[in-house]
Amino acid sequence: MKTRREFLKTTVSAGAVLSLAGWERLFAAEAVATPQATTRRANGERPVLVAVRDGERAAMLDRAMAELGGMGAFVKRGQTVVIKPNIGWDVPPERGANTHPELVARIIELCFEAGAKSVSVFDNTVDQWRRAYETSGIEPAAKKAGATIVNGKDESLYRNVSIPGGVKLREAKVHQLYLEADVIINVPVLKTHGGGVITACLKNLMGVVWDRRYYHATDLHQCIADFVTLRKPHLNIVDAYHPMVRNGPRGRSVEDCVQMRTLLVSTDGVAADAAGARMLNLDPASIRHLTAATELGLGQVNLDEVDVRRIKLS
Amino acid sequence: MIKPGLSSAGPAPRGQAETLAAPPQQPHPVECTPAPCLGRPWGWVRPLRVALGVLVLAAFGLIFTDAWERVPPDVARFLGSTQLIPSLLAWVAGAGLGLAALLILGATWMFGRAYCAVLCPLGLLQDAVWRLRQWIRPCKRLPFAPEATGLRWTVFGLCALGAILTGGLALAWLDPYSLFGRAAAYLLRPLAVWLGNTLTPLLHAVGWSDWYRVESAWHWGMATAVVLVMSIAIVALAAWRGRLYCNTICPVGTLLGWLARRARWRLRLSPGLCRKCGECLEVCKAQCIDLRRQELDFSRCVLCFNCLGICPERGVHFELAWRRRARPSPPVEPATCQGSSRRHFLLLLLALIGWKGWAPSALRAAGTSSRPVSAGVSAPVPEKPPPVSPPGSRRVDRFLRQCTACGLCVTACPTRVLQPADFEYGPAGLMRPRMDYQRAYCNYECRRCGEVCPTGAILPLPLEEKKLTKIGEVVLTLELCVVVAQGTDCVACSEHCPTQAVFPKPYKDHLRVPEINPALCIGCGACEFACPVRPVRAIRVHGWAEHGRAEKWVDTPATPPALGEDFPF
Repeated sequence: MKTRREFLKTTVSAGAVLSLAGWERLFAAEAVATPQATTRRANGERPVLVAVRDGERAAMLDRAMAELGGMGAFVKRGQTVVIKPNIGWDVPPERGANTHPELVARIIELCFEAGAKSVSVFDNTVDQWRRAYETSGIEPAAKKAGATIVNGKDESLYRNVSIPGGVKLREAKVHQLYLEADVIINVPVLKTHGGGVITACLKNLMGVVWDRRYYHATDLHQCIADFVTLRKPHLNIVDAYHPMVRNGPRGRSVEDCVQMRTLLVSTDGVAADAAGARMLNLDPASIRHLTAATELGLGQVNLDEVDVRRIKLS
Repeated sequence: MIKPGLSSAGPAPRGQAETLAAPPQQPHPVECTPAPCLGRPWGWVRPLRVALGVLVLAAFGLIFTDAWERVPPDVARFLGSTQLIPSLLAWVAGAGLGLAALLILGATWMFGRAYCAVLCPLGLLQDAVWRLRQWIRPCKRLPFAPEATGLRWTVFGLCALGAILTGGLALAWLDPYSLFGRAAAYLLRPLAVWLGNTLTPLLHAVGWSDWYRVESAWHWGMATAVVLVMSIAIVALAAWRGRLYCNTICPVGTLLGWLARRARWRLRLSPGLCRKCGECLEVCKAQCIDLRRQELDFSRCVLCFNCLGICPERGVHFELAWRRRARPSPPVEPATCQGSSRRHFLLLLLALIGWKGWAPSALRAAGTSSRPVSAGVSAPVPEKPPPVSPPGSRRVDRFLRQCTACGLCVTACPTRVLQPADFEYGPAGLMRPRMDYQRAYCNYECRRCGEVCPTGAILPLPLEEKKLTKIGEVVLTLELCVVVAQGTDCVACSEHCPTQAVFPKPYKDHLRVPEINPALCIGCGACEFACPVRPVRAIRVHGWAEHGRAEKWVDTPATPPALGEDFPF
């Protein structure tokens, strides 16, 4: 037992160093060149959060991306992109338990317009994955937009990596697409959540990890925050069109959702989640995984420290 | 005596006429399967039989190894329903008209055991094994063997008695369809999955990007062990003696054999033409041709038609047999066994009528008291919660009697929550499907097991009814819960619950602890599956011996959080 764990740890950390060291540098170098980084500097290192409301999903996305300098600011020609929506449940789009397929499809289109070499979509679903992919409408929509649908329930696609920055989550089995893609676009849907209080950007990343039970058995909030230290998504797009305001994350009927017609886009997932929490009438500072992530330097839970661009479409 | 005449036209003279006891002097130069003699009368039936058999075997192989949900449930159900025992059981349960059974019995009475020839997957599997064996060590002659009447009818009698008393509970062991199903579902399907998973990169490389790996389908346990042993035994029997299983043990074979003996059209040897060359013996899989007596025991003939094509003298005929016509020389032995089997049949007929009429209700009372399953939540056993039977099975005792453990639902279940039971239902419930919530949970929107079940053991509930059918109830042991024991958030159970029978309740230190509302629980097992506590989970589903109905919830629109014209941040 002991020897196996040791063996795993050594191989895993060696592998992680080899596979990840390069990425961090690549991302850092790239960040300097992006217009978004320029705005950040102009505003005194404050992360930018674009909040758009009162439009259709695709229109709100287009407007938000224009505010951030276009998809080209994030996706360079020839890069591989992975999109991680929430496809957790075998329920149709109107139930608000999964990211809406229209939004996912529009993101894919924008990525290809920006010159992406490939766009992959996956989630380690909760319900049976074939059904969740199909019923959520995401598989048909993403395929139509030209993306590659990847099996999130294929354990052989997951790699053991160590998470040196984690407090409680020190290693995890992570989908190789999340580790290898040039650009990660995190596309959660905003919902209330039994254990996590809310689920949006940070909680959505549990769906790239194989063993979710470890989170629940250890310290859910701390693990959620810890995971983000491994690799931050380059862009977070929160579908808050009709958030699930009770009985989350699965919900019981369409009545659990309230139409708010909002979209949150940010490079800072913590800030986007904080705004999401406000939309659900919750105090972001009371949500432990958001405060823990802020402590780890992964983002900003205090919206006063965020450059929020509020845009109304009508 | 070497036979003259026709031998020059055909292949080299083979065998030795009239010396049946002596084996062939040399290994046979000819293939064991006769060339399809399409020119002859009835020459077309053998190729037709082979073609149909290959198709049917492939179809059954497919529905029992499909781990990718490629086979529509209606197709699987239809194929299962073509089988004699499932059709009869469904008729008894009122879940089918028993059409297939009628057709099979009728066809047997007309032409003999056509079911055994082209429809029974286990028979076809044995044919395949026999064929394979001949490729490896060709042309072993099976001499005529007298009918093992005693064994045949003893096994049949026990099965019939078992069926009358317990329905599928007893039939499951020897029903050929279910034997095949289990072998394919629990032994072949894992191999198919392994193969599919191994080939995935290759399939992706050639452009089949929709192909995907699936979870391994092995079930490690007593159920698989039993299936393995029985399958090896049947394959070994088939390799040794062709259709021996069908003609000595199989209760369906015995029943249909009895009918076939009285068939309108039968295969017969023509005493005037037969030169006892023995060529038919080379190809007979059933050991039913007695050249000494010039008799073909049609009760054991599985209608392979091999003899029809190979006989150089055309001495095997398919002919109309009038019942009242006096036989040329009625042998003594068959007559006696006919007499006894007639009595057997009368008994069987009475039993069958009774089975449909009074047996189910009479047994219901008997069954509930002796069933090892204790009733639901009233007696929770912490170490071993009562087993959960699939939605649509209504009651565990009814389910066990109606199910032949063919494994079709286990194959079709998309989440793999349906697994063959070891001893969860007690020894009698071995191999019957049960809900294994340690492995997966029942998808709220799915009713596939009921859609495929051909025996009526799992009734096809409409989805809305399935969503309210209570197959068990949640039992929460709060002391074990992560939130209480560790003081960290979890409630994975409530996250997964489709009906909010488990919901989060505010707890000390801004935590949330699960709370249950059993009235809403349908027993789907999502909470038990999600619970991270080990070795004993903090939340578990206790199966109900008799399924109930959960309370219907009604949702009113959620109150929107205060949201004005502006952003709330």
